[in-house]
Amino acid sequence: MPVTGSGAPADTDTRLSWQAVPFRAEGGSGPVTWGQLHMWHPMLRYGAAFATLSLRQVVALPAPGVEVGECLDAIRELVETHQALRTRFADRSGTGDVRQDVAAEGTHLVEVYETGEHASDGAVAAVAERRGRKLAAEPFRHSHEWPVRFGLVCRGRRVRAVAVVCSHVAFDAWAADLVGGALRRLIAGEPAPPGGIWQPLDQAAHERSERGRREDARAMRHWRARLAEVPDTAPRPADDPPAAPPIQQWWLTSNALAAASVAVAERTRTSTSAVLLTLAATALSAIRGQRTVPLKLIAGNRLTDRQQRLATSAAQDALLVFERADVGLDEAVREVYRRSTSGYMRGAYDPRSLAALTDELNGERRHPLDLTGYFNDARLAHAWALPPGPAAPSSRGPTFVRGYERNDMGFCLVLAQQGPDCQVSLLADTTRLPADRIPVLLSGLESLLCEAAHHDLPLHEVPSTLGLPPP
Amino acid sequence: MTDLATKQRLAELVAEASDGAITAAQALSTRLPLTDLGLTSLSRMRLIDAVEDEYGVDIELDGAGWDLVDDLDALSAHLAAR
Repeated sequence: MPVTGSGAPADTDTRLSWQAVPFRAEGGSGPVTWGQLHMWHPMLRYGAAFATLSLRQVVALPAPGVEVGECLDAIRELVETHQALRTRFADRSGTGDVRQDVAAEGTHLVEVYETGEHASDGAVAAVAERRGRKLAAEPFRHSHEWPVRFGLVCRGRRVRAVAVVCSHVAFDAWAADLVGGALRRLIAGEPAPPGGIWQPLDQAAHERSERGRREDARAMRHWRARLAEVPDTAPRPADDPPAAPPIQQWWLTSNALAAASVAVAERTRTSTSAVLLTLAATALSAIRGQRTVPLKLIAGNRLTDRQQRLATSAAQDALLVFERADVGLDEAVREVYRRSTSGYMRGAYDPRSLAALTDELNGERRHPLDLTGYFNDARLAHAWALPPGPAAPSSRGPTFVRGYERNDMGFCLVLAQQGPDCQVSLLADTTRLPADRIPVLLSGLESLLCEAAHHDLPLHEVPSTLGLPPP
Repeated sequence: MTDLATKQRLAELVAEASDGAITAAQALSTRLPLTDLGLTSLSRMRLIDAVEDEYGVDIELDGAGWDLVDDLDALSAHLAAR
């Protein structure tokens, strides 16, 4: 059973207390995985701002909820099952040799918040959301802190929701979802799905095996061959004055856009991801004034059953080198489908290998490779979940999400599913794409796709429809 | 391993990679591209991963590899010829 902590409140709110959850399991130590290392360097570069990338979720529990002790027992079992939840990360030598130290025993402190007996379901949900945001406000100190935080939200002393915040060094979206699902099952007393657990230390050992080294070498051969296709030419100068904030992200919620992308994908026998990626690449090509542009693709690296059971970061960057040809959209989508599938196949490698490769290639170029263009299909199912009935166009139009002072990305189109809503977001460096053009581009995507759902379009018409300079 | 034995093994890998959506018997007997039987991009990637691992080869999808993976006769001949 969990040990009751001192109960000392973290702030002046007397409804807040902390419970200690001791755990004991098999520990160990080893190098970090490629996926963990992939996020380590951004974590160092971003500093405190890295906290904005922490992965928040709320596990809502059906009425009447569960006893606090039962919920803490479930958390203890979860922590004992998955290594990443009891791991500390550190570069103790200062040489970049980052290690993962999996604790055999220790204690998690879990926040417990009581809303009062008369709180409505909506109030409980709102409190859980707010507690999650508070838990995510501080960056994780990975050398002496667990990479996950739990907050219980209770009504009448029964837990109705659990806020879970995961560090983006230790977890990617898939792994965070896996942990949330496992916690839900443990609380409900359901058995774990069949199949053993593939742990981060197993993955790190695999990556250093002969097979892992072959995988790394294959990926680097692919990156080298594709990057050789990027002409050594200067992009259109980034001479627009920066907006405030200089890097901006906007969202568009549009089930009509999603349904239209399904129609194009079915006609071309490809995927909605390939359809949106083709349009993103065409837009980037127009923005840079370059016919051939590289895009980094966020690769989940969850191909095999074993990878799908791994509860730690596995996502890395894959590569698409896109050439804007004088063809129709359909043909371009088919080509991007093939080339991006090939890229995703080579999305797992030692990040140090890629850094060495790009350093080498840039040393031979007059204009360094610009690898700040991204595409992220963040839908865990990689398909839209469209509700039945007519697909509604955006009712509100594009909305501003957030701004950044700096970001590794200068351009990023993201696909996401929020409940029944299909969303597309665009992050852009306003010195390359003026701020007022970002919502224009998103609205243009919706209208363009709704037209393309009915017939093929010349690819050269895409930039002007998106409000971009002609090719 | 003969071409036929290789093809039979590849058909088993197709069934595994597609989670049974395409059976080994279907993969062996079809004259259609595997795409027409429902080989998705995810299944295609899993199949290539398994083939590369088992046979120690590289298959690049953005070259001739895409069509190669669609045709088990061509793929087994390719593996035999390496």
